[in-house]
Amino acid sequence: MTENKTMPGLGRLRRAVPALAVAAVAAAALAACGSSKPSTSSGPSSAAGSSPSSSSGATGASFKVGGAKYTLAVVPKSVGLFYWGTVHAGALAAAKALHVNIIWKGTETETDVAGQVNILQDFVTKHVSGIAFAATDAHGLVSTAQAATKARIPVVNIDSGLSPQMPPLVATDNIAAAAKAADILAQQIGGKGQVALLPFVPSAETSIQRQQGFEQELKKYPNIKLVAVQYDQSDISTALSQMENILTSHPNLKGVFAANEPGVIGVVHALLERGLVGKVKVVGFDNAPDEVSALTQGQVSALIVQNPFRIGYLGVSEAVNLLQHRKVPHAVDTGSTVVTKANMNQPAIHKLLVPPTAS
Amino acid sequence: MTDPQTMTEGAPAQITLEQPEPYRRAWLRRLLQQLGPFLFVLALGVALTLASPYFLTSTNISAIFVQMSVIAIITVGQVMVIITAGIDLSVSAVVALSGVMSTMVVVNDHWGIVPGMILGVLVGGGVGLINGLLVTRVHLPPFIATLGTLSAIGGVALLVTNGQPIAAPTQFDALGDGHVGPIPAPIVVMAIVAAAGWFILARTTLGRSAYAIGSNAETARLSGIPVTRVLVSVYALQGLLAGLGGVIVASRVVTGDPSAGANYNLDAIAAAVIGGASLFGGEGTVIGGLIGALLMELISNGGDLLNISNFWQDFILGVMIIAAVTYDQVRRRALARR
Amino acid sequence: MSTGPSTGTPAVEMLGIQRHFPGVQALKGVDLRIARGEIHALLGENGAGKSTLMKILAGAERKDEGRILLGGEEVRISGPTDALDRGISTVYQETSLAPHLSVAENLFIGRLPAKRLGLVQWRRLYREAGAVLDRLQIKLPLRARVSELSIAQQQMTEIAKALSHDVKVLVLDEPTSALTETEVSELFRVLRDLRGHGVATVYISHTIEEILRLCDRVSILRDGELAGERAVSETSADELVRLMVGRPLLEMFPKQTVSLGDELLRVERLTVPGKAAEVSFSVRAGEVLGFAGLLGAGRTALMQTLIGAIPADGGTVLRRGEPVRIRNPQDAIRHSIGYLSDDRRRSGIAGLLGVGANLTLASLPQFSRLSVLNPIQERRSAEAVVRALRIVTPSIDQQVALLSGGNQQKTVLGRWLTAGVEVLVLDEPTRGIDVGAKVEIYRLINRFLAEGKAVILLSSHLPEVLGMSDRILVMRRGAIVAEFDRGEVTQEDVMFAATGQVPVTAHERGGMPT
Repeated sequence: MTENKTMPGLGRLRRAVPALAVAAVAAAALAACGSSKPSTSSGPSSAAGSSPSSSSGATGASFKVGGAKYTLAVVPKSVGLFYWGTVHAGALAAAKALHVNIIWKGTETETDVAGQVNILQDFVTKHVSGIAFAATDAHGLVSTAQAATKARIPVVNIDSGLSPQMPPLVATDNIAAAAKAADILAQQIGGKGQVALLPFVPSAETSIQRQQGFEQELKKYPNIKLVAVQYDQSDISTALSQMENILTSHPNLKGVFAANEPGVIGVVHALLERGLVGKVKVVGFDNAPDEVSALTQGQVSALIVQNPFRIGYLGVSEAVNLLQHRKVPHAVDTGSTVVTKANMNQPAIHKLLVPPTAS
Repeated sequence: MTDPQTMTEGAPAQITLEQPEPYRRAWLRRLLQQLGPFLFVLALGVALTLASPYFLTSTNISAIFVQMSVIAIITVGQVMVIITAGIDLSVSAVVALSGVMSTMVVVNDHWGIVPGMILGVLVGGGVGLINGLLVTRVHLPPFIATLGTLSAIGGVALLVTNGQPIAAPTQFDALGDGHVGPIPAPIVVMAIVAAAGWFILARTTLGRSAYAIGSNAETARLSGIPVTRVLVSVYALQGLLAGLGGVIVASRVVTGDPSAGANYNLDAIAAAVIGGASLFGGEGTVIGGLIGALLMELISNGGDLLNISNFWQDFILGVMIIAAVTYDQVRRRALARR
Repeated sequence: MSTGPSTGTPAVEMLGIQRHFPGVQALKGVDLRIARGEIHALLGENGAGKSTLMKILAGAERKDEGRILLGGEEVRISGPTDALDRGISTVYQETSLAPHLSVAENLFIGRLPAKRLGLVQWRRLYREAGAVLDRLQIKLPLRARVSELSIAQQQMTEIAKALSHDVKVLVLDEPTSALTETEVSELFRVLRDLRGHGVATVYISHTIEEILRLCDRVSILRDGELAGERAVSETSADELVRLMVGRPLLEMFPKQTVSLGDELLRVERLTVPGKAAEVSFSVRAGEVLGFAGLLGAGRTALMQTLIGAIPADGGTVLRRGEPVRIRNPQDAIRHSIGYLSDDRRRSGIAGLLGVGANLTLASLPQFSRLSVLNPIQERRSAEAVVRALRIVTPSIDQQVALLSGGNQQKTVLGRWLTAGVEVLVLDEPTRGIDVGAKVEIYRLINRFLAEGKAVILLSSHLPEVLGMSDRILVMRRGAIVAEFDRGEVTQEDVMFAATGQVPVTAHERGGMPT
């Protein structure tokens, strides 16, 4: 029996997070990315520049709805992961700054494509002003996006796009980001040896792109061999089992790239179990607290960190631009940064590592 | 005909003479029922040994049993539920909620590791109790009742965590990564649960009543079997076991993940069915369920070792479920024709 | 349908048929010859091999040895469809009708008149179905769902369905077990009519009176062998019973009168919502209290209420003069009252469980300590009961579903003997089982009484109630309308009371028992 449930109590979830979109955060983010042209470069500098200041000290500013003109739906791939909490925070900041309402709703698992289709269809039926969504499946969501466009609802893709890509896309360039992962992993293992890759869901565009970027870049290192590729379905214990089995069959494994948060945590626990921490280098993706603490403790060598706050913020603001018939670029790269234990305490990078979150 | 008293007051001595013979035969019959999956396990084991030098190593064998422990524990409960002609679809959500609750009280309320884990197991038992009451008191079909709790409890797990995984302190791995002597703790827990499950089904009035209810609920009721109490107990037991499974999952990854456990529903039902439990009730054994769980674990372990795509693993699992259910149907039809 | 005289080559010849099942040689070389235009009875105890023999003819079971000739030609029947194509139709005891489809749809199921696209031609369906029923002179509501029909109507539908094929040989497996007298007469009329058309009918029955009334010849099977073949006109009930059982039967109803003891059970003003109102009766040690009445008179509901399986709406139950509360069957068993249900399959056996587990089902506390079963004690008791009741089974682990009807019923009865109840309610205890098993069950009742226990006997079979009861209560529409003592009553008296047609001559009853 697969999961096929929509989210109960999400309304409550949204109401339970009032102290988020404080003016300071919004202003900082707006100054960083809203006013100037979207950055297309990637790297620490642009990412750090866009990072808003910490949200601590926020007053319990209630979420004012009265004056807002538009209600936009923002649909993540799932509501479970830390990453999406930051996207949510960015979206809320933009909503506050631009005086619009947002509805945040998603499925429980990133694999529930049908569930996401249903959620989006409901928003089309309700005729929200605009939709920003992260596609759980590059192909499976195309017709739903078309239906929204047909109903004259502006659509923006955030984080994960469609194939073909029709709406504007606000996302990390995952191919470039994964190439960075390959480079840093190669550097960590000294340019030779066996490595493994744990993408997450074979039909998700981000997973495909990270796999593609990693594998392509790896070709530059003739002495590195990719010996195992397993999809962990974004499930920690699946990733744990898979990593154990990979370690069994490849005792000389030198490194592994886990392409999202559950994969990283699963891999780390497998290494802890086998006493291989430090011997097998781990490069992860994203910056969930677990991942950051693993980086601090030297269990993870490097994290490729996106700027999810910026994705959320720009997703909403681009949708508003579309609503107001302004021209928007077809693709916005929100950038990615390689974070290691060496650079993690630099202020700009630290802000990226510990961003505000909506939950 | 013999003297009437002998019917009600036990056997006269001469009747006991030739007892052992049919006893052994029944045991053999049950063994034969499990033989198909068991041979498959053996064949797969041999094939994997030949295909990968790493398969038949102590590390890997240990890893296989650790990895199957959660599915196996949940399968023991699922076998019991299926024997009563029921089904429990809520285990996925129970795994998530019990993992979340046990880590949450440890992290937020500074409970000890052990009390936190016990709480997680009890939370599972509570959900099982609700399932049992929905089935017996509200008279919902088990499929609907547990589908409802699947969604509701899954929602609760997300609500209490706001959807975020809870990172537990490192010591929380005691159950998942700990050892009893040289044996990993999850394997020990699995063995205890399996032995207890076998004992309950084969040797207690609860187990016997479960089989009777699954075979013919009305007969059981008219024969004085406390149907409600038995069903509630069985669902509660399954809840406790799913809760235990959830705690082990959380302990292994030292994280209470509100979206954990999605695959356990299908896997546990599949393991039970592959092991000879009939979805129509009245039939099923713990041994069979364990063989089913082992078979599924071998497929996924072998897939990882040989770097076979996950898609093939799913495909093979599906084919096995269909084969097992087909076999069950054919056997039943043959039975009905006699 | 073939026509012509009933002489010449037999319609069916089965020669030297053998069939072996694990542990049992079910058929040991049986010969059976059935002429055209003949109603041929197949008589035998349960487990004698009748059903297996007929399943082989119907292609539902294979034979190990032997030949089958149809109209003089040897044939190989490859399966049920092949048998139908060759003109062999079988009506089994349990109907195989689709309950939510109409009568007409059921008649033509699998071959509904349809256009190319699979659309059913409804008008043509009803026309053709009507024609079939007219030809057979059976009246049935064509458009009614089968689930809305009475059992008898369902049976007729089943027979009509069998006959809607081009039938040369019709096999009926105990067609009258659920029918009333009028319905039986109607069935016999149809069968005689078919005989006139040259159809060879095999009529499996346990009821010797029926065979004598209806059939031309009779073949008797015993233990997988042909025990004899007789022309019905040249035999007698005594001879048939002897051939079938292989041992003389002194009498059909071997009732022994026991001197009555204390009052074991008294029921006062027991009311079942919608089924029975303020019913009172009592039964004494050593007594059989018979309950007669038509189907739906409320007897079964009353007894299920007595044992707590249906909630009561008022009333008192006294055991040995003490009022007791019975809220569920566990309570009933605790107060030593057992109930053998009227529907063996639906609420009597647990078919997937072994004979042993079925026998101890009502007395698990007796076989366990702290809920842990004692398998040795269980096994001893079960094997003793199997021997005492002569339940034919390869072992006590055999699934009950695999036993014959009579042995299943003995197993259920054995369950209550194992439980050692003092008051036993038997609801249609001999329905659908053969004469030999019936007599064994009557003897068990006698032994039960000799132990100073009491029996309440519910039966739709009047000779049985009259033959076995010390006292007979007649129920109609949820109330007791008459009471008779043994020996002072005829079947007609009971029938009149049950149908409410004629004032009852024996002492008419009010609310209270004697």
